[in-house]
Amino acid sequence: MSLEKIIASVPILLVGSLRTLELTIISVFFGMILGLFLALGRLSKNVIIDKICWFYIWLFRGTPLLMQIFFIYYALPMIYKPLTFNDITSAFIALALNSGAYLAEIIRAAIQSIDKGQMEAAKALGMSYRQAMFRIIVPQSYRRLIPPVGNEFIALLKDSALVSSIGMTELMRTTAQISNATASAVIYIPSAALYLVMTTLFTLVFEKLEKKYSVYE
Amino acid sequence: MIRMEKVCKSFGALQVLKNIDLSVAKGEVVCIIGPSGSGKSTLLRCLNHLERITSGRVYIDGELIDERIDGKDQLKISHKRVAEICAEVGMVFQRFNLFPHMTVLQNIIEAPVTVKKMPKQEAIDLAVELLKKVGLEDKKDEYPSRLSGGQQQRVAIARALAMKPKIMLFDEPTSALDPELVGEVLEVMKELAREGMTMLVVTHEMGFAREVANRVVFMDKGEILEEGTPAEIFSNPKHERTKSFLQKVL
Repeated sequence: MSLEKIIASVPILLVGSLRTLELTIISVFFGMILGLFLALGRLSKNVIIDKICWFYIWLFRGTPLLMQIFFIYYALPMIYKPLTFNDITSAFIALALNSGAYLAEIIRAAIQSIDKGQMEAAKALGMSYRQAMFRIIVPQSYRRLIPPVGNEFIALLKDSALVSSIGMTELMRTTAQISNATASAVIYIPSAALYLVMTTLFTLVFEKLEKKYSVYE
Repeated sequence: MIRMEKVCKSFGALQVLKNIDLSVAKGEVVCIIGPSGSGKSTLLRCLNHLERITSGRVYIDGELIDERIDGKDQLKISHKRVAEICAEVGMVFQRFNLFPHMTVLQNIIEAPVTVKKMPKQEAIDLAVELLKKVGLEDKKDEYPSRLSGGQQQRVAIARALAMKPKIMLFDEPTSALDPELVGEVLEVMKELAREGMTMLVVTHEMGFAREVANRVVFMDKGEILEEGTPAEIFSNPKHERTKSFLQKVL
């Protein structure tokens, strides 16, 4: 494969990269929301809520992501017809549900690491559990969340390559297609470089965030 | 203002409060002294639901806020009402427990704004006034980590006062402070006592108890062994254990 050909395929690779980024950011975003509620559920005094959240995390951390993707894309429509999703939606759902399970444990650990005196002070001031959680405890956990959430972002960015298996054209699949069409594997080099650029980007952003949230410490 | 009737509290098999009867009248300053592990802090924490009692009754301002028989809840009032009453009981902790992610000003206005729904500007004015009172108006935009222990504790007092409490509870407020910072916190507390605040203070500062308290309560092993005026307790203790404790600390 000639250098010109590689340069010519860069725009296609960039489009694939954008898709990968989009997949990662949106999935982690919804994963965070899901994870926050799962974490609060795990910390709940209500045993049933705790157990349901525990079960969810157990299920999604204990089975392969690739299997979850296949399950949502191929198996769900067979079980119940209205649950038919196209490749993009299936990919988002699988990645968000999966990252939610991991993020739940990250968030729970961060919340539990906050000094118990904080909850007591909030209660002594008349705040309800909900007010204390969302005004006092959760905001303090942000800084402690940043490094592990950064990890999760990078892990998911790479794992998102798995959705190429249900035909979604993100960076991995775009690269494979070019490689097939040109009967050459050289294209994997610029593609790997693009993955590195994206993970580096996240690393830098998270280092910045960590600094920003450290002002009060 | 405060009344505890036959209050017992156990943590598992360990009984930390045994049949406590205690009342504090409006405007009274009561100091609780006694060795570590005697249940002083637990007693205080039972007054604002940070701990739930195992049996007995607790009244705040005439209203029953906790009642249990053998650990079974007998309380008929709603969680909301309990929270409302507890909001009228200010508490100052040994380790300050300021909110580290908020500035001094934000710490003080947080509860009035979120709990009492006080307009923000009004809360800010009140906070500035309280900061003047504790001598820290110039620190309002600092984060707690930038303040000394004594300053943090004074902010914590201002934060509790911002809820306009009827009662202030102090849980060893100077025990975590460097010796030279103790005085500034005690000064603020004396000022409060002079203004007529009802105060219940767990302390190891015998000088403060002697000077400011209307009444001193001596606790040991979960029981109130003796109570009386500072003169009675410090000059003429009746109970052997009070005597030996005071000999060690004075």
